Amino acid sequence: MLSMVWRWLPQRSSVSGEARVAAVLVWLLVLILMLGLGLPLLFIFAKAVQDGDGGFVGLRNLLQVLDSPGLMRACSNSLQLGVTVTALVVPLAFVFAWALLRSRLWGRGLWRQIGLSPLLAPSLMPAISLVYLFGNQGLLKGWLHGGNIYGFWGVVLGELFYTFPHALLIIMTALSAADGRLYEAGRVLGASPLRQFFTITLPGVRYGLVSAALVVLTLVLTDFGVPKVVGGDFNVLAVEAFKQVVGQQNFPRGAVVGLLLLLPAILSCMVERRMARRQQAALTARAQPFSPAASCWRDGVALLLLLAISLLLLSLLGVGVAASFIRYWPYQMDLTLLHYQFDMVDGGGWAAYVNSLQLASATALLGSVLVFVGAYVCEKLPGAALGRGVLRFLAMLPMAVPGLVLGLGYVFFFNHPANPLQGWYGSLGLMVLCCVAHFYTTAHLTAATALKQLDGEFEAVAASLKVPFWVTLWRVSLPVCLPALVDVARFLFVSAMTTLSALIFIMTPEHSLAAVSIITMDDAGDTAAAAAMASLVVLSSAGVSLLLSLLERLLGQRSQRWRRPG
Amino acid sequence: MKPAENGLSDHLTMSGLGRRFGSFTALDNVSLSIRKGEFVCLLGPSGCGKTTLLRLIAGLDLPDSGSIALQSRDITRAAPAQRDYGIVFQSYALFPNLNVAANIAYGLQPRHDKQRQRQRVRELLDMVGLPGAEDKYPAQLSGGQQQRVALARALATSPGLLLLDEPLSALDARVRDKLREELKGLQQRLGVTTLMVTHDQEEALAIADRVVVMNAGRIEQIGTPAEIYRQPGSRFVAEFVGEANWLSASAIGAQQVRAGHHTLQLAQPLPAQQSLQLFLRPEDVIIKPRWENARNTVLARVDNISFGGAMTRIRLLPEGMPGQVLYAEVCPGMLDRQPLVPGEIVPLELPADRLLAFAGEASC
Repeated sequence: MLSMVWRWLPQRSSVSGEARVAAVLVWLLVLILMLGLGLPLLFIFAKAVQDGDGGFVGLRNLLQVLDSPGLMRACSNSLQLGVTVTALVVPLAFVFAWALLRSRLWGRGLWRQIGLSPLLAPSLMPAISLVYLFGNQGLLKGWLHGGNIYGFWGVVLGELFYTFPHALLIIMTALSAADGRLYEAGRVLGASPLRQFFTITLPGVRYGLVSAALVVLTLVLTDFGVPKVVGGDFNVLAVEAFKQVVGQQNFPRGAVVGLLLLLPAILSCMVERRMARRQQAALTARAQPFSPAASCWRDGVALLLLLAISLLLLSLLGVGVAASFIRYWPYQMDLTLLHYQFDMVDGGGWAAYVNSLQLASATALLGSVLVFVGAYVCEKLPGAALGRGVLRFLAMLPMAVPGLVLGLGYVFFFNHPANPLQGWYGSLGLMVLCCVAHFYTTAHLTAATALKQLDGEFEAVAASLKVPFWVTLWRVSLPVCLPALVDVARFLFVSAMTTLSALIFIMTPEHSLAAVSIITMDDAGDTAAAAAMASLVVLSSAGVSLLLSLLERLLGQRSQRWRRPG
Repeated sequence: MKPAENGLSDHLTMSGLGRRFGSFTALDNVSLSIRKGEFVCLLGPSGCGKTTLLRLIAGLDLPDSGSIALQSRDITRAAPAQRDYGIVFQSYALFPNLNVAANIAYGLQPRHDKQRQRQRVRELLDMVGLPGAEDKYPAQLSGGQQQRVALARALATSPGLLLLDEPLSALDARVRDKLREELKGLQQRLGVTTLMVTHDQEEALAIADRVVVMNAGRIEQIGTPAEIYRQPGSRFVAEFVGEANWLSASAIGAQQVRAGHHTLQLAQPLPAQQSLQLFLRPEDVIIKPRWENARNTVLARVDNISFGGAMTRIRLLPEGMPGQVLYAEVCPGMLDRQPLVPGEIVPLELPADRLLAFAGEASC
């Protein structure tokens, strides 16, 4: 391996230690991502065309899956679910984003935080809340007129909560890139607000809407936390993959289902690429930021919309938290901390929570370093062009890989008897690697965007002054990008804390995790304990987010002095 | 101290440099020598290869062919840190999180001798005319001040070669003129060999000892500013540098051409082609007080007079040359002696020693 790497070192420039260090760094990062991402994915492909004993069977597994009525029903269920949730979430998120960005309401920062609050919770949280509201002992069960929350509409509501902030973030970005001059021109030409909305606002966010729809669709198709808890008899593909691999140990069939789940993500990536090519820069350098005019009527409507959606989101988050403190919902409503004594129930208890904290901290710490160095060598260093190309590809790949599929790949690759790393299977280290790989793309894009805003000539100036790049990285690039880096760390921590899909495949009972123990407890009927654990996860995510914000502010006062104009 | 006196030796030599980007040829067989202490400007339109050449010299890019030698040491493929130069970019590339002192001291060795660094920073700030600015951050400085800091940082390690990549083009006109003068003075005082890239011909002519005009990856002409302006070596240089009148003409003798109904005499031999374009600077058109039947004298109708400060610009329609327009530039003092009014017919002399002929059809 090493000799191969050596050959790719830049031969054009003469022996320069600096270029060599850069090339080694590039290839080291490629190696890590290959291990954590590339090889596991390749193993899924391999597994999908093998029988249980490793013999090559071609497409037989695929045909078997296509032939099995249960799986095909799960497949059509998944699609039906995905389309329904997308059709509901995208308009809701658009309305929320519009009310936030195009009104002059007070407290828009707070509304924004409420809109994004589902990010802090594992996807099981809304499902548990739904059970408390509409389940067999639910508070509002009467509203259903004898109906049942377990099934299609329960999953839809849960997924709605889970995917809402993702759609909101994308649509807010699209809506905030508005050119005020267009609206002024519209007003001068006598266009009514409605006409302005249809001819300026909507066309401006078209790309964002499609992008949000694709992201939501992919998330719903590959999530299995919500269907697991409130799905009841409503079977979906993601749960099916889990059952095949973990329940029945049918690896080839699990691999085929995993590949099927890869399809929507790959499809969305392709559609996005096509659209991005057609999309022109929405904001030119001369654009005037849009600022809404005063309008009581519009602000009133916006407030109502925000209130309605926030109520829905907060109830799905809050009921679970509240229920975790209540002795016996809904019969004995007095407060207690009883459900936080996890040692009485299955699932790993406080140890699982501590494991999750360790995992999330290690992911945030190591991930930020890895991502930042990776983005730096991609953006700022010359040489090792092939290595940087491979690294860029690997950095964008996780976006198209659902956590579930990645987890399957880890099972196949790291649990392979011939793999020398098999001993690592089930350890915290592997889980950290998995989390970093899973969330790499968003983190990479955040860091790369920050680095791109730095003058491209810093490295050239430093080289002319005979200062090696790592000194410039440490003294200039890192301090300037610190806010983005804190964002990356926060994102990685919260994601690792709440994620379920990839980790559930590679954790072992000795190393249980908080998000996974929620499922275990819920399965065992300890819904209150599950709610307590989910609340703990929410609390920790929110707490660490807050802490990092404070840290950022503190660091800002010391090292960001230069940002303040004199 | 004149650069030519102390510098017989070539400080920087480029020979046969070529660089292609895919099917685009950015540099085509470029050879150039720069003497020690000389101030050379690379001048050309965008995309002519001047910045590519600078990047090759800086080691930020590598040539496909040819070689570069700095003080007779081959540096064609050396890493930037193994060369010896300071560089100032158009964006200045000042480190935003470091104050002025830390920016200037960024490349100073040894890194931990704070006392010596402080002293050197103070010297440099005095030199670029910003004493006492040590503790400011780049965002607190104006564009011109940032430019001075960038220059101080590039000169801090006393490099033998100073590279300037359009250093003045981000500044507004008044600051630019002032800095241009200071830059030239500083360069002469330090005697540092300097290579500046610019697309601004006025700037190049004002500041350089020698100007290298580039076009489409090739060197069109190398010469002193006066040579470039007065004796452009090619049609491209004549069009790119300064204002000029262009008259269609055809050759009729060794040094004689026919333009419209007129026969004009040139002081120089003509190119071999039949179809020619005559070149004449507006300030070389002489408006005569009265008609004399002399060589190269024609009549023209005054079409328009526009005041332009130091020079007044007169649009003339020469008789017997249908469709041709001539611009003349005269100083206001001359107009006081000989007032002109639109519609008036005046005699013009197109001096034989100022007329140049280039091959080809009319441009534009």
